[in-house]
Amino acid sequence: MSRPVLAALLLLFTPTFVVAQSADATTAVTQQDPQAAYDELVKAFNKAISDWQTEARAAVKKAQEEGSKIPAMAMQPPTKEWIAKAQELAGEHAGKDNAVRFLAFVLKNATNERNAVKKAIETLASDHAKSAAIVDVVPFLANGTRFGATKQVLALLDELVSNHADANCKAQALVTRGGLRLQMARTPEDRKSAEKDLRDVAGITKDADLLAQAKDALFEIENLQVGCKAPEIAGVDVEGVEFKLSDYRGKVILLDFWGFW
Amino acid sequence: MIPHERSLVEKWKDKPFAILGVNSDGTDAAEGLAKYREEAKTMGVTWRSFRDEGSTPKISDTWKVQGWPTLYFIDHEGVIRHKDVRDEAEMEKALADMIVAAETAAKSKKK
Repeated sequence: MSRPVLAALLLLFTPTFVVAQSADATTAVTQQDPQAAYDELVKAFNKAISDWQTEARAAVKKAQEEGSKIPAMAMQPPTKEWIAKAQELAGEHAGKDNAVRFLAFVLKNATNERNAVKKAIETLASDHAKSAAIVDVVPFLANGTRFGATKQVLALLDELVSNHADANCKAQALVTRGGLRLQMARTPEDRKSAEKDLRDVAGITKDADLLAQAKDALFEIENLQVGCKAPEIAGVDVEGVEFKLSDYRGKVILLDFWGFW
Repeated sequence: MIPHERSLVEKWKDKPFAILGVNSDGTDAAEGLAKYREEAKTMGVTWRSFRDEGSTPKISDTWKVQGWPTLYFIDHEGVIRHKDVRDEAEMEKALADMIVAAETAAKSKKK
């Protein structure tokens, strides 16, 4: 099992940042400039992850050739140091909008840093729930569920949906909450509450991106649940020959999203 | 995973059953395809797969796949009956029941 998991990690764990090109970061910037500090952090982090990926790939290849165990380093991206740094920077700007980007960094990039994630969510709830700056973090709140903070995440989303002054922030919170509810849904009622969140988005925003996100998630509710007619797949096979899922109507199909990697 | 699937294909070769993959090995590139062919031979993968990257958006994006492997169980009428049953015994039971239903439907149609 370790191989697909690792492959998935290597494939998926690409830092998602676009590094903002800060003007000559080495000279003009004082240490207090939060944007520059953030850019530096992201740059150093991206480099560390990319170095790790190279090293991890080599280690995996070697282990496979030798038939030995994949070393532990290959399973764990070196995020700890950078998460700690982001926490420190968030602390320096505690209570101010500038702290939000560092808390967002923690939520986006933590792999194993449970306490840091929980702390970040707490801080967002206590210090930033009314701030306009929080909107950029909202999509990443969902990551909190991987760290045992589901309750806190949902509480914060509830707060934003009910009380945030900015409509787009509300809408973003609805998209995120709807997605999260859908992911956790066990009953048809659960799915209904997810669906309601996603449908409500259209009532409060005209933002094309948010509307598209909501529509996307609704597609899942309307087409990909047990009991739904499977969406048609018209594609090509691995050799490039066209075929369709419906060519197999009349047969029971086990549809398997897979790869050797 | 693959050995179990291989055994299902063998076991139900005369039944209304098929495994269809959506493969993400990058077979749209020559290198990916060569590697796929080699691995498929070694592992005995005889069933057909869609090329995930062969559609836009990728099939896995349309189907909101979050992790690999992801399984959908689709009945003879094209309806999703189960998702992500992973336990091999449970999987086999679910598919066996669906095959019975497919055969029953085929018989009543003939009459």
